[in-house]
Formats: sequence, C-alpha cells, structure tokens
Amino acid sequence: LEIKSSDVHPMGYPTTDAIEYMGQLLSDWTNGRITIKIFHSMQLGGEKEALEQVQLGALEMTRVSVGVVGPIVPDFNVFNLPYVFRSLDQMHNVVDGEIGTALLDKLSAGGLIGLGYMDAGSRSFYNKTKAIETPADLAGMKIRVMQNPIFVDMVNALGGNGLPIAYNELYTAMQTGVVDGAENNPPSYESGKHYEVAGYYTIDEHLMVPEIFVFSKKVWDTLDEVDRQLIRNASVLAARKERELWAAREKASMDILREKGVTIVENVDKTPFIEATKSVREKHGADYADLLKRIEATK
Amino acid sequence: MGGAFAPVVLLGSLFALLILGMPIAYALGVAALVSAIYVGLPLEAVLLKVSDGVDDFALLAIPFFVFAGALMAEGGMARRLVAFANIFVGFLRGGLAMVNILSSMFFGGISGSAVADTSSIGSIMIPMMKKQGYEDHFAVNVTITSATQGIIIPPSHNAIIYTYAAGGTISIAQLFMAGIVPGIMIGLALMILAFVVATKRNYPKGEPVAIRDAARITWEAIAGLFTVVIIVGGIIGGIFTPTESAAVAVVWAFLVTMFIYRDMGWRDLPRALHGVIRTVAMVMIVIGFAASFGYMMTLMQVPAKTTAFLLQLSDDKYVILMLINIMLLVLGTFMDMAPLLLICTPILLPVVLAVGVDPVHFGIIMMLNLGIGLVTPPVGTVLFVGCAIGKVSIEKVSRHLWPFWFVMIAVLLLVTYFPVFALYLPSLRYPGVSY
Amino acid sequence: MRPIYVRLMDRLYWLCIGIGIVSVVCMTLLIFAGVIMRYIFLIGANFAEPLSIFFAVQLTMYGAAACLRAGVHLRLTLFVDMLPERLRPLPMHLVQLLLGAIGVFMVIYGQSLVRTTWFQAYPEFVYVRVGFVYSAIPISGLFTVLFVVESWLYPQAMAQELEDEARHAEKFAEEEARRLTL
Ligand code: NA
Ligand code: NA
Repeated sequence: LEIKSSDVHPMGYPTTDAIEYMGQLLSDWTNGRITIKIFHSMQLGGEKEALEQVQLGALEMTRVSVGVVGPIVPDFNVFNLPYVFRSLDQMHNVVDGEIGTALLDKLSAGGLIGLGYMDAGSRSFYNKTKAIETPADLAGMKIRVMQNPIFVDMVNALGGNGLPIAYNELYTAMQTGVVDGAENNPPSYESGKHYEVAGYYTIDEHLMVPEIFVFSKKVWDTLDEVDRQLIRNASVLAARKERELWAAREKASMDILREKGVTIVENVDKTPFIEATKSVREKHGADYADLLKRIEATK
Repeated sequence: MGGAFAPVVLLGSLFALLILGMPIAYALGVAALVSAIYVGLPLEAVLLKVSDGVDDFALLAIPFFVFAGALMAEGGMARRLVAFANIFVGFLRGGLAMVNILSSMFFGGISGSAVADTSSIGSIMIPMMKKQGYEDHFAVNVTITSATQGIIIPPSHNAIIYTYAAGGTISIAQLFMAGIVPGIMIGLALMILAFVVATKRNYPKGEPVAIRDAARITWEAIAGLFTVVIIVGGIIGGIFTPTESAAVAVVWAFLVTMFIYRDMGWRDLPRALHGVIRTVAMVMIVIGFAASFGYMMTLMQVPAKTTAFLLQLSDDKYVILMLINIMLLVLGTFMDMAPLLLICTPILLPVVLAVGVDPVHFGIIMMLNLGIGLVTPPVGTVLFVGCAIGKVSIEKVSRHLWPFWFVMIAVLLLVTYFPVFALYLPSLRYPGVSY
Repeated sequence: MRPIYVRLMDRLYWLCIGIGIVSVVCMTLLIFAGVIMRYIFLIGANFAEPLSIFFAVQLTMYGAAACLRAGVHLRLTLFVDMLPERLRPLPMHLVQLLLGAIGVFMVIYGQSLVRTTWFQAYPEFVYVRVGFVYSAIPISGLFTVLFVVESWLYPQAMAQELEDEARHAEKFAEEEARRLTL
C-alpha cells in the first residue's frame, strides 16, 4: 500500500517532515509493505482541493488547517476564534483529550478519518510603525488578515482595520503602505522576510489554530484492522514528532528575528486583548456555546 | 503510481488525440480520464481538478484582460494607437512598417494577446501597407512578428498563466517588470530589420505630423494607454492585486470607450461581450483540463523523472537552457502557447531551478520562445490570423518569414544567456532578485 | 426554417453565452466594489473573491460548451488536413464520439461530485454551496452531449453565424481604415 499524502508546505517543514517520519515508521513496521509518498508544495493543489481528493479516495491522506474542514464539521470553526485558548498547554490538553477526539470522530460523516492534530504555533501582530503593548496601540492601523470574516471582526474589535488581502501580495502591500501590518506565527513572519518592512512584533498570541491530518474513509474501509491500527499508532508518533519540530523551528525563527534587530514585545498582558475580543467570540461562537464552555473549563 | 507504463498511456493518448484534431482542452481531459481509468483512480478526482483548476483568484485577471482588450478594440483603440505611433516613426523610410511595430508595442500592452493584436492592428495596417506598395508578405510578416511583443510587454495574460502553472510562487509584479526590456528589444530589433528592408526595396516614407494634430492624437491615445498604467502601475506599486488591477482597468476601458471615444454604442456591447465570453472560455477550459492532466502527470511523477533525466544529460546551466529552448521551439511550431505553458512549466521549472536559473527569467524565456512558435509554420495561431487578414497564402508568408524569425531568435538567445535584460528592472525593486 | 432541434440548440447556445456574460459583468462589478470598499470605506470585502471565483467556474464551463458548438476551440488540424479528402470524416467522427463521451463522463461523475460536496459551504460565504459551484460540470456536460448530437445531425448549424461574424469584422476594419488618415 502506497499512501499518497498531500501538503502545501515544502519538505523540511515540520508538517511534511513529520509525515515523512510517519512513512518511515510504517515502512519499518511492515518491511516496506506500507509506505507514504508525499506530494509537497501544493503539487496536487491547495488544501481545499486536497481535502476533496481525500474525500473521493483519490488521495489517501492530507494535512490541512482546520479552516478547511469547517464546512464539513462546523465545530472546528471554534479554533478560529481569537483567544479560544489561553495557552499552548491548554490547547494541547483540549486536542489530546476527549474534545479533540470527539471532533476528529465527527469527520467520518464527511468521508474522512481524523488521524490527529499538529501544531501551527500562535499568530501575533506585526507592523511597521510602533511597538504594540495594548489594544489601544492598534487604533486606526490597517492590518492584513486571512480571508475570513472572523479575523476582520477580530482586528476591528481591537480598534484596527482588518483587511483581507492575498498573502503573496503582502510584502509589497506593507512596503507601499496599503496596510500597516499583519499577523502571523514567528516562522512565517521570519521566512517571508516581512520583518524587513514591518519591524515591530508583539507576541500577543491572539490565534492558536491547530492543524489536522486526515485519511480517506473510502480507502480506510478497504484496510484490515491490523493496518488501521498501525496507521493509528504511527499517527500518534508523527503528531508528537511534529510538536517537537515545530517548537524547534519557532525557537530558531525567534533567534533570527532578534539577530536582525526586530523590536519584539514579549510577555505582553493578554487580558485587555482577551476582553476586547469578547464580542467576536460571542458573535461567531454563538452556535458553539457549549463547546466553548468545555474548552474554557479545560486546564 | 501505476507502473512505468502509466506515463506512456497519459502522454500517448494525448498525442493521438491531438493528431486526430480533437480540441486541445478536451484532448487533455480525455487523456487524463483514460490514464485515471488505467491506474484505477476515482474519476471524480479528474473532474474535480477541472473546476479547481480555474478556481483560483489570480486567474480571474485573464477574463478582465480579455474584456478590457475587447472594449478597446471595438471602441477604436487600435486606430488611435496607429495614429499615435505614426507621430514618432511614420516619417521614416518604411514608416508604415515602423508604425505597425510601434503600435503593436502599445496595443500589445493593453490586450496582452498576440491574436487580438494581429486582428486589430493588422486589419488596419496590412491593407494600408499594401496600398502604399509594400509587398503583401512583408506586411503580414511585420504584423505577426511584432504582435508577439504583446505577450511579454506587460500586462500579459500569459504571464498570469505562467505564474499559475508555476504553482503561484512567482510574483506577477516581478514577471511584468521583467518583460518590459525584452519586449522592447523585440520591437527595436524588428524596426531595425524593417528599416533595412525598406531602404533596400525603397518603400515610401510618411508625412511628418503637424503639432496641432499631434496634440489631439496624443490625448486620445493616452486616455486608452492609461489602461496599461492602471494595470501595471497598480500591480507593481502594490496598490491592487493583479486581479483587482485588471478589473479596475475594465471599468476604465469602459468609461473611455463609451464616454471619450464614443465609437461604440450601447447596442454594440452584446456583440463585444459575446466575443469576450468565447475567448475567455476557450482559454480557461484549457487551463481547467490542463490541471487534470497535470494532476495525473504529478501522480505518475513525470516532472520528477524528467528532471532527473535532463540533469543526467548535463548539469550545466547553459546547456540545459539550450536544450530546453530547442525543445520548446519545436513544440511551439505545433502547439499553442497556453497549453504548452501549462504542461511544460511544472516539468521544466524544477530542472532550471536545480541548475540555478531564476524562475522569473525562465518565464520570460518561455514566453519569448513560445511566442516565436505562434508565427512559425506549420501551426501558428498568429500566423493563420495574419494570413487570413492579409489574404496571403501561408506558404508565401512563411517563405519570407526567415529574416524576422532570425531576429526573434537572436533576441531570445540574448535574453536567455544575459539574464540582465530580464532581471535588471525587477532587481531595482526587489532585493532578492539578482542576475 | 431551421429544424426544431437546431432552434432548440440555438436557445441553449445563447443561454450558455448569457450565463457567461452575466458572470463576467458580475465579476467585474464585485471586484471593483471590493477595491472601492477597501480604499474609500476601509472595509475588507469578503464576498468579492469567493463569489467571483464561483462566477469564473460557471463562465468557463458553460462558455466552453458554447465554444464547442461554435467550433472555436484551439485544435490541431495539420495532420487531419494531410489525409485524402474521403478519409477526413473518419477522425472527425471519432473526435465527436470522444467529445460526446467526455460529456457523458461529466454528467455521471460530475453529479456524484456534486452529491459528495453538496452539504459543504464556503467558509467565507456560507450561502454558496461547494456542490452548487460544481453543478456547472454535469449541466454543461449535458449541454456538450446535446451539441455533439446536433453536430452529427446538422453539421452546418452555426455556419451562417460564423460567416456573419467574419463579415462584421471585415466591415469594422474597413470603417476603421477609412477614419484613419496618416
Ligand atoms: Na501585453
Ligand atoms: Na503589428
């Protein structure tokens, strides 16, 4: 069995490396009977397309952001809410616990077998004009966000102007002042060289969106119980590996940013940010009130 | 996937279908379906790719380019640009040939399509040149070769197709900037050639244009040329995304044709739109089915295998580029530009990246090269359109094509081996670009 | 009087072109509105992108079916033209058969695709179902089959229109040349 797996990231990225590791494990355990062939760097298309191919059984596996599975299992949309998690540990406890497992199980209605979660870090604001310490510093700033009403509302609630523009236009947009800043995790901020045009980075961690990797139910149904268990076991180890790789990568990026002289605001008081975005959680989280309560109760 | 024979099924069925005369888009689709059946892939996946292939925001610039170009063409833009070009070069020996080339430089900018340029500028210039004693084959050859400038002078929908085929990783703004110098080089080289031929055959000169007329002509032309400023300025300046720039340009082109030029009435709009829909659908469906085809190629690892094979032949940048140029020139004589860009880019880009060629530079090389293919017999869309408009046989035009062809090849080689021509302008603005 | 089937196909052709025209006009207005909102009202327009992509897919699929009827798709005629006159219908019929087949494929597998994705909504724009976007595949596939059948029964159905277009283009060129004095 050759498992075809798709990812939008190139090899050498934590997610692709983790899937490669998963392939090695499977191949070792089965003497090469089960292998994984990774189609990286969007060779087979973007996340939405890859997911649809997995639903149809044309691909066995893919790694996607939860935003893409929101249309299939709306509960996943809660991860897109600002400050749904207070800390990385809380996020890990949620996805590793009952809540996370139950969400993955729901995917089977959409023809998917949820294998596990991966880290994608926390997103924080960066801009070209000043160090942001409190939401008041964001007042009037034009901040690029991803294409989703939640993120626009989030920036607006904090006093700025959320503008969705394409990621590959962002560098020039900041350079020419079409936007004043944007928000992303340290590795993206660093590797996209956005610090060259926007040198103020505030670690406010307003979004902590995990990613998931899924298997095709069509193909899964043809596998015997032993192979399914092998894949499950390898998934657990791959997810653990990815967390380590991600943490290492994030540290490396932060080191580079410091070296490049970026003004980094750390240990920021999150409370005013959390309070300012309460309306966003209420508005966009109305349908998931119960789930939100259970997440909040998790340590 | 599917063993060593699978790529043979995929490529073999494509060639067979093309030879049978099947529309290229559908030939790509049937080949993808046949090979999906061969390797046992769910067939929905092939169809999914057709729709996902065109489901890309950056591609939406294409309908807008076509739309703006059509408004300008039907609104009398070609005529105004010809008059504008006449101010600068009309009085030279062989003036009309120069005017033809220069107006293509302007118009090609707007429409971004060599075929649109040939039919708009050509249908005005070819009869006029014939009347003034230029040989018919010369008039057609000047028209079709200069029309290929439009492919690389920004804006160009082929540049959009290239960045899309390259996986959306290349900046359209950089590619647009990179196309300016090579495009002007083609124009200048053709003008020198036309001047030499005109002197030898004693073609007529035109009259210098009176200053008062020149002012009016310039104003009218500039209103239209501002369409290009919106698109190119909007993208390079980072003010708009390429798609947004193109949509704004459509609105501008509409205002200019309806309220400044007023050649076109409201009643002419449906006809213009009818043409737009057909052109757009024709290009976009090729993109869609090429996405299915490309998907099957990737699953069968054709690009990876080709890279390994070519790098085995040589790892010298110049040798690889020469091999690729020859291959594209041959393919270009049979196939149209968009399908070749879509099929060859994913295969060839990893190869040239491996030997250290800049992807923006390579885009310009591909577009120049395949542009030459559009005028080269036996199959060349621009050649066919030019011959139809000039009412000259393809054989006659082709027999006299070689000096033009030689000039274009010379520019291609210069641009291939001296990346500075393509990359100098982008390097001024983007710190990552060097040559 | 044109046969009834041809007249029906005329309607279908203009329906396809009509969908295309509505799509391209809507796309232009949507994206232009998005730009205006961003620069003048400083609000991001979430709807512009997903909706215009929806229109682009419709334009492509229905427009392509119409192009098939008008016979304007890019194709390679070089090798077919090299055949002796009496053999030429052979590849032509084979191609028609294959076009019909791909139309049937589009209908069957397209509707299965629509069913798989019907309950999925776009994240940015919940009113557009993913399956609705894909519905253009089976429907335009059906149109493709109908047009192929027409080309078999009445091969010259569009000849007059194409001739008219060519004549218009020639007249337009003459008019332009007349107005131009160099
Ligand atoms: Na152009
Ligand atoms: Na010309």
